[in-house]
Amino acid sequence: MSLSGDVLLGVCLIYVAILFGVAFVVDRSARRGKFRWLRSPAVYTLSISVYCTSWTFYGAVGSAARNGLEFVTIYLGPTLVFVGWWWLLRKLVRLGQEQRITSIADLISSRFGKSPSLAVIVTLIAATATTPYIALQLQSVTRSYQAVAGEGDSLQTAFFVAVGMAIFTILFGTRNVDANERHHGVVAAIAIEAVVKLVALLAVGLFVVITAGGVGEIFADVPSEVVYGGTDIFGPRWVVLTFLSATAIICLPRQFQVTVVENADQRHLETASWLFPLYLFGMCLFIMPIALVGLKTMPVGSNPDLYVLTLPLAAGRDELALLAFLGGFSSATSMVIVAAIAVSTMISNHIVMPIALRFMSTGREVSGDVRNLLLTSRRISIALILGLGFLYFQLSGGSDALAAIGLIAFVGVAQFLPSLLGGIFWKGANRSGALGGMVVGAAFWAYTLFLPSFDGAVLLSRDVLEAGPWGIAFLRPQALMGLEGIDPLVHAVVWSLGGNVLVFVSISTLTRQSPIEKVQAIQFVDVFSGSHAAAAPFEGTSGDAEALFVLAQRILGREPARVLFDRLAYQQGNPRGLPQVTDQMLQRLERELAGSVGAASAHAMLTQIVGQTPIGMTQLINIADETQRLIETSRQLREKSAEFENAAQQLREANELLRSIDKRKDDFLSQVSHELRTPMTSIRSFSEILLETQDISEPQRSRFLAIINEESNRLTRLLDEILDLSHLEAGSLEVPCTELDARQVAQSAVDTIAGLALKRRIVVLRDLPNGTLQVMGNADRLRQVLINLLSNAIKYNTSPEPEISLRAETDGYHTTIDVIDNGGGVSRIEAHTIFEKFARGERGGLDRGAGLGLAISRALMQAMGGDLTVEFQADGTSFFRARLLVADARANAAE
Amino acid sequence: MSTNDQTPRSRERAAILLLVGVALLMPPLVQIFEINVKIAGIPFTLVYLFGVWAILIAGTAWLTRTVSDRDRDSGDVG
Repeated sequence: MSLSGDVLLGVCLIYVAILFGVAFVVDRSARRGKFRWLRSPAVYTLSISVYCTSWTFYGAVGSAARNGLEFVTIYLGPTLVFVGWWWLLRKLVRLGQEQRITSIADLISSRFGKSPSLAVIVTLIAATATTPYIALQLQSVTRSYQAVAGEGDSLQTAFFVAVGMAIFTILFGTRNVDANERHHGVVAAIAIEAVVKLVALLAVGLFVVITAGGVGEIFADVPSEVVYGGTDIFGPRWVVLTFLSATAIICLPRQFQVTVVENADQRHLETASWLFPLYLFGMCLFIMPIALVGLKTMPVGSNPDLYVLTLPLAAGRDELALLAFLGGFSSATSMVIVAAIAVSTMISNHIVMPIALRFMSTGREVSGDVRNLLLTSRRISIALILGLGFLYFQLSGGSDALAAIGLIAFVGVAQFLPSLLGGIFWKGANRSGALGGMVVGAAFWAYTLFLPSFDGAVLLSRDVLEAGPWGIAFLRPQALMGLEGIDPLVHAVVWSLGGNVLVFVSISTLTRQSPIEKVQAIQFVDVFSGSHAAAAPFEGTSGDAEALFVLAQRILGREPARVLFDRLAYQQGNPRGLPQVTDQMLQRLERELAGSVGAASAHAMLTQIVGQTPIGMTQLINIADETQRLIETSRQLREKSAEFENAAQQLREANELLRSIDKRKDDFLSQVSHELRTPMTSIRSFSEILLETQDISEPQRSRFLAIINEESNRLTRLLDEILDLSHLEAGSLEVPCTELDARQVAQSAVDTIAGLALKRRIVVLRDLPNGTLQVMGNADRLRQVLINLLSNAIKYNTSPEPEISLRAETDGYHTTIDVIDNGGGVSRIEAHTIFEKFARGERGGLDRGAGLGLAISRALMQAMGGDLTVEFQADGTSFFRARLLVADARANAAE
Repeated sequence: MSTNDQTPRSRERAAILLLVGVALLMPPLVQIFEINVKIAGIPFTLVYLFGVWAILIAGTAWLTRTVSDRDRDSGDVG
C-alpha cells in the first residue's frame, strides 16, 4: 500500500466517522442509563490523557532530539500532582460536584462571590492561552499530512484542517446543552483516541528499537551532551518546566474539563492517581530511543518533531506510518475537541450569557430561548477558537518547535494557579486580589512571552523586542528591568507569576470581602467539613414560581425542568402544582441552573426574576455566622469540658479539706475528753478515798481537798478556754475594741507574771518605746494574750540562764509586741502547727497544758483586727509577735 | 466527622511519597545522579529518572489500594 493524500484523507474520515458513531451510541445509551462501563475509572483515566496532545506524540521526540532529557519534565509535573491527588485533585473534584462547576472560570468566579467580571477575565486568558496550543495541533497535523502526502501549500492544508476540526468539534460537542456539562459520548471517543495514540507510539518505539538492534545499541556511541541536552540539564529550567506542567494539568481548561467536570465518581480519581502517571510513563518510554535513532539515521536538516512518522516511512513501513499518523491525528483531535468545548462553554456561559441577560430582559421577564442561545454561542465560539488558532499559526509562521509553542500556553494558564490554590485553601483570598493578580500576571505573560512569540508580527515589532519600546533598554520584553542572561521562559514565569502572586496576596490582605464572598470562601475551603450546609430559615422572598419554571424550561429543557419542579414541590410536601419559592428551593434551582450556564449567570438570572438576591444578604451572613458559630460552639465545648475538669479538681480538693477538718474535729473531741478525763480521774479518786476511808488524818484530808479543788479549777479553766475558743472560732464572742495604750497593757502583763518569773529565776527585759502606743484593741484580752505568751516563755524555757524580753515597736500603721526568749524558740515545722488546738511544742512535754492557749491567743488577736505569728530571726531562732493596728491608722483605713 | 479524617495515616504516607518524589526529581538532589555511566547500555541518569517515576507510580497504586480497602471496610462508599 502506498500512502497518498487521498488515502490519508479517506482513512481520517473513516476514523472520524467511527469515533462519531461511538460517541452517538454512547450518548444515547448513557441517556437510557446503560453502558455502565463508561463510568469506569479506566475510561476516566484515558480521558485525562487528553493531556498528551500532538505536542507529546510528535513534539516530545523533537524536544528530546534538541534538549535531551528535558522532555521528561512535562510528564513529571502531572505525575507529582496525581501522586499528591489527596490534597488538591480530590478537593477540586469534590468542589466540582458540590458546586456544579462547569469550567475553571466558573470555579474561580464562583469561589470569589460568583463574580461575573472574574469569570470574563479567566475566560479571556483561557481563550488567549489556548490559541497557540490549538495552533500547535494544526501545525502538527498539517506537517504530518505533508510528510506523508508530500509537500503542498501548508497554509491551505492548515486551513482545511482547521475547518474540518471545527465541524468535527461542533458536531461532537454541541449537540445538546447537557445538564452539568457532561459529555459522555465525547469522553468515550477521546478514550478510544487515547488508546490509539498510546498503541501507535509504543508500536513505533518497539519498531525503532528492534530495527536498531536493541536499546544498548542505540545508546552505544551517543555523546552524553545529546542525552543531557547541554551542561546544565538540572538547572532552573528543569524546575520551572516541571512546575509549569504540574500547573497545566490542573489549570488547562481542557484538563479541568475532563478531570473535574466530567468526573462521574470521586473514587475514579483513586485509580487515575496511579494509572494516569503510568500512561504518561508508557508514552515517554520510547521517546529517547526514537529521538536518538532519528538523529543518527535521518538526513541532516529533517524536522525532529516528525521522527515518529518519518522513521517508519524511511524504512518503507507504510502501515506503521499510517498508524503513527492516526496516533498523531488522535492526539491533535482529542485535544482540539476538549479544549474547544471547554473554552466555548466558558465563552457562552461567562461572556455571551451575561450580555444576553442584560439585553433580553426588561424587568422580571426572561424572554428568548436560552438553550438555543447557548448552543449557537458555543458553536460560534468553537469556530472562533479554531479561527484564532489558525491565525496564530499563520502569524507566528509555524516555524517554532512544537514544545516551545505549548509552553507559551502553559505559562498563560498558570496565571490561574494563585487564585485557584488561594481560593480553595485560603479563606482570606478575595475577588479584588484574584482579579488584580490575574490581570497583572496575564499582562506580564503577554508582554514577555506571548507577543514576542509572533517574532515581531503582532503589536511588538522586532525593534521593540531587541531594543525595548522607544529604545528603553530595561523595558525589553525578554530582559525586563535588565534581567538578562536567563532563559526567556524562566524569565516570563518569574515576572508573570511573581507579579500575580504578589498582587493577589497584597490586595487580598489589604481589602475586604463582600458577604457573598465570605460564604463562598467557607463553602470552598471547608468543602470536606460539611458544616456549610446549614439551612437558614425562610425569609420571605418575593418570587414568581411561574417565571422560574419558564426559565428552568428554557435552560434545562421542558421535561427535565418539569421533573425538577415536581421533585421540588414534592419535597415541600406539595405533590400538585408548583413549588413554593423558598430560599432553599432557590438555592437548589440555582445550583441546577449553574450546571448548565455557570454559577455567575445562574445567580444573575434568578436575581432578575426574584427581584432580589436569591439568598437574602442577611441570610448569607447568617450562613457565614452559622459556620462561625459552629466553630465557636465546639471551641466553647472544649473550654467547658476544661472548666468542668477544673471544677472537679476543686471539688476533690475541697473534699480532701473537709476530710482533714473532720479528722481534726475527731482529734479535737478525743483530745478534749482526754484533757477532761485527767483532772476528773484525780478528782474522782481523791473524793472516793475521802468518802470510803474513815481513818484519814486531817492534814492528809486537807491535802486531798486541795488537790480536788485545784483540779476542779483546772477543769473549769479548761472548759472556759474551750468555750472561748469555740465562740472565737464561730465569731460569736464579742471583743469590744477601744483605743488603748499598748505600752500600759504590756507593763501590767509583765507585772502579772513577775512572781512566776522570779520563782523560776528568769529575767524579763522590757524594751518599750517612750510615750504611749495607741492601738485599737481590748485591754483585758490583750493582757490575756501577753500573759499567755510570757508564761509559755517562762514555763518552757530550758536555757541555763533564762531570759525573756518584751519588745514593742510601731511603724505608724501597726504596733508589734514581740515576746522573745532564749529558750530555743519553735522550729519552722512547728510554726505551722503551733496555733492548732491542743498542739504542743517539742518543749511542751515538761508541763501539762491543754494546748489551747496559743490557739485562743491568736483567735483573740484576730478578733481585735491584729494577728499573732511566729517570726524567725536570721540565726534561726524564733519569737512570737502580736500585731495590732495603730488607732489612727484604723481611722484612716475606715475612710 | 467527615470522611477525610478517617485515613490520616495513609494521608501522611501520601505526603511522604510526594515529598520524596519532589526531592528526588528536583535539583539539587537529582544532580547527584547526573553520572556518565551506563547500565545495561542505557545512561544512568535516564534509568534513574524512569526508576523514580516507576516507584512513585507503584507507591501511589499501593497507597490508594489501602485507602479504598479501608473505605470499604468502614462501609463508607461516598
